[in-house]
Amino acid sequence: MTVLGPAPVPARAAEGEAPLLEAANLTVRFGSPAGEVHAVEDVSLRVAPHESVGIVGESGSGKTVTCMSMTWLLPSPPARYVGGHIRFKGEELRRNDEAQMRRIRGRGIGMIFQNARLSFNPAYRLGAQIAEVLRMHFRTPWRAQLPRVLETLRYCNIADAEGVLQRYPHEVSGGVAQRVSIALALLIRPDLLIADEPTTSLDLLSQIEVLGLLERLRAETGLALVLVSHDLNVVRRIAERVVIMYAGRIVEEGPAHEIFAAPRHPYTQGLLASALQRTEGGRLYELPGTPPDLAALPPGCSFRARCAHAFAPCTSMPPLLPAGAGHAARCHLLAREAADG
Amino acid sequence: MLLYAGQRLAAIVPTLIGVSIVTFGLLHLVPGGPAVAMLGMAASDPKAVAAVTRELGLDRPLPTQYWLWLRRALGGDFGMSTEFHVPVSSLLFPKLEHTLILTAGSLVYAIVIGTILGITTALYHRSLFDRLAMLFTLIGASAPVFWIGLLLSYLFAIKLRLLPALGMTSVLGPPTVLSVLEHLILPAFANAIIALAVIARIVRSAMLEALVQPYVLAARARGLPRWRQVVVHAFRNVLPDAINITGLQVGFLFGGALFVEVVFGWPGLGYLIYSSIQARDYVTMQAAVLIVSGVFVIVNLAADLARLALDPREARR
Amino acid sequence: MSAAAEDVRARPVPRSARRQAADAFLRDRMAVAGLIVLVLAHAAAILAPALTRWDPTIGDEDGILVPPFSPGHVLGTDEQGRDILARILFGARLAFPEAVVPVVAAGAAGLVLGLIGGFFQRVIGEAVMRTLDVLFAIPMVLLAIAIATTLGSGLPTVILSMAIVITPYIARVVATTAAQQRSAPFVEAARCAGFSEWKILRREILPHVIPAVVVYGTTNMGAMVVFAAGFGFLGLGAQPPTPDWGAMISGGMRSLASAPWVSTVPGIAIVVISLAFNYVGDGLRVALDPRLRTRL
Repeated sequence: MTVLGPAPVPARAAEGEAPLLEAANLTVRFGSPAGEVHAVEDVSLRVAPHESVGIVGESGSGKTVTCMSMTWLLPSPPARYVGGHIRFKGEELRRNDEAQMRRIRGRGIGMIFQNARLSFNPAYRLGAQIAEVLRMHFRTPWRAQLPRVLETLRYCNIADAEGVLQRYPHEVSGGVAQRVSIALALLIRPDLLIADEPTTSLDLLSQIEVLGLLERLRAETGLALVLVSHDLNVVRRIAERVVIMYAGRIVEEGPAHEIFAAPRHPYTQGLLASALQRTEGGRLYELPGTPPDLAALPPGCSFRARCAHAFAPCTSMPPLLPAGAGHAARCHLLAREAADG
Repeated sequence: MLLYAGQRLAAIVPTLIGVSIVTFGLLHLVPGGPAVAMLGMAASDPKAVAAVTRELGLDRPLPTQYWLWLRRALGGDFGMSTEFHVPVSSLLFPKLEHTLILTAGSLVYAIVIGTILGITTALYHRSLFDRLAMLFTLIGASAPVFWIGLLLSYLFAIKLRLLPALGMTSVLGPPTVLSVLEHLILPAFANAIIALAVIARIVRSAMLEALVQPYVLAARARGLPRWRQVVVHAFRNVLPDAINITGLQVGFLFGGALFVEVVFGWPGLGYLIYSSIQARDYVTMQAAVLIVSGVFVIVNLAADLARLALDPREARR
Repeated sequence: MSAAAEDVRARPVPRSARRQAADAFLRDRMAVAGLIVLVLAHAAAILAPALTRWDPTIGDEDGILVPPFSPGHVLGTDEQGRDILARILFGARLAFPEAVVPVVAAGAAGLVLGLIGGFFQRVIGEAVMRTLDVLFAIPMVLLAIAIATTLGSGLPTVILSMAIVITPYIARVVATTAAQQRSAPFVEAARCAGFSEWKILRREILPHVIPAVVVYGTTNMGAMVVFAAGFGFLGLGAQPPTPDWGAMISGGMRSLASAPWVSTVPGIAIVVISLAFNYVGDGLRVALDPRLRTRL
């Protein structure tokens, strides 16, 4: 694949390699009439080059805000960066201004969104919007770019590549629009692609197709990927490492196979149970209760009210406790097991 | 698109017929009827009344009268001015040109300042600038144009002596484009204020909505600079609404021109209508209403078609 | 009426909402201020003879073009030596009827025409809407002035011509709102439940249409103050020496260079009253629209 940057690299990143993207103790809050919303609290996240990370959580868990804050896409106000660091290739992004961030956006970190059709301007043809972005980043004439554009669109399973360039966003299906937006992200040659719920608003066939494309991208290119979803099944196919978020915090993280085989946090266990049963039929498992109000978080573990295993220590917020190589969970049960064992 | 444009074009025919019926009816509202209206002072002579009645077929049934009147009007014959004793058309068309100059000048002010104000207040939403600008537009839209005209005239023409207070060209020397423009600055601005305020408010609220659309966020995430997000992406989607409201404002600019022309002695249709009111020159008034409405209908059609052409979702329908 | 039919009916403005609306209006400081200004101005218009010792129509030959803040003439005098404050106060007696009467008359006419066009639709409704379209095609100010000129000057003519030209606008607001409601799910439901068209009109359509007309009308009363001033300016309104704000402005034009206050002061009165109507209209819009209300 000459159009997609460097030659294929081994999928698994070496342990201890310098991270491509690193967030440390990131805290983001929103002003609201109901009080300050603690959207993201003390989130630390590392993405190594060529690595694929899945972030899973319900809506309101802070997964989207975490991703958006990586390239400072949050509207501010009401969003406020309270603390923490964001480093991309060793560069501290929090010291950057809007102009410096533009270098990172698209070129360093590409993003695709949930509703791809809405992420294109309804007033322009798709080709014009691709051309605009490429002109911005590469300053080469459209004519010279065109072969690469068509090749990339075809790589993204768009058979009628020339035709799609002539269409308006409302004239293509959601699935095609999402593949065009992936193609556009690839054309700018980012080091990292953040995909925020890329399949959520698609029909089943398009979901399969888009996930297949992301999987192929992972296997054939050196692109690092952050895949955000509320659905564990979506992440399972692609991510090497999984991060589970709940009420603005990371509650569990670890290698994908470990998270799916032996989840340690009761919330992850619940998510997994509902995800598995949906695919295997039978009665639907549902987590009891609802997530807490982020503007008025109760003290202690945020999951306490919905947790079947809650016990006395849960009135204090547990730290992320180690649960194996590269595996950690934010649960007092781990401390108790360690003490027992 | 072409089919649609054709339909719109065809739809103005019944509108124009309706407008002509209304203006035709105006003369029948005049106490004493159309014959008296057309004669003005001379109506005291019963023989003259009888002559006009016969000549214009005013004793025939109304539909026939309308048809006769319409045929004459389409041929450019709007009757004789009872005040100036010349054919109305010879009065009307030179003045129409002057009013179109004034209206065009106002339109430029309203579009340029209104749009810029709308965009910047949306960008600095809830700031002091936003609040002051909105207060200014609200006051501007609540004040009579002729009063604003007088204030501007007092300040810039009488006190500061920066601009001429009256007329369309300089009395000294030949009329030049430059002197017309110089004379245009104040009256066009006074006339523009309400349209400017309306455009600013519409653009502002539409921009506030457009700026939070996913495609603007996506443009930002793809590394496009702020001005492109605002102008190329957000404003482009506000444009159809802005054009629509601008087309509607043209009618108010014609109405406002009537007053502004009186304040600034601008020799246009408005001034002619003003003199016609004073002189009860119904025939001239009727013709002026017909002509201005015709222009207004065409301007709105143009705005409508422009809006369609700019909205791909609408155009494909 | 069955219990099931009762259930499918969404009540747009339930009784308790009236209180909510009043609360929302009172929370809007500008709307309350506007209302106070209108009440005070109206009181001043009624009490005008008690508030000034000057006759608004009789000038003082020794005191022409007296500047404002002079002893005896707080706002100065005009070119005939008439006290401007007295003329403003007595002029308010015309300004209020000129603002309110055309809107109320056009509101009634527009309601009927708009319902015919928007709710009953069919051929006659279509005919009504097309006829109104014709009136939109003539610039509003021009049409009003043409009508007023042909009918002859005077207050009744001015009010009638203003009412005629704003009726299409109100009718369009009514027709749009009614047409939206007509196809709303809860109206379909009411129809399925066997409600007659009249009952649907009374219970489902009018509760939405009336607030829309009230808000639109109130906001337009501000415009009517300005509009009526235009008639006065052109000499079409109340005839001299009756004090009329618009006529006062045109009267001051001749002495603009030496006595700018003669034109300026009545303009300020117009702006203040017109702004007050606008703010009250805005407050009503927020208060009467539950969606806007909750957003604040």
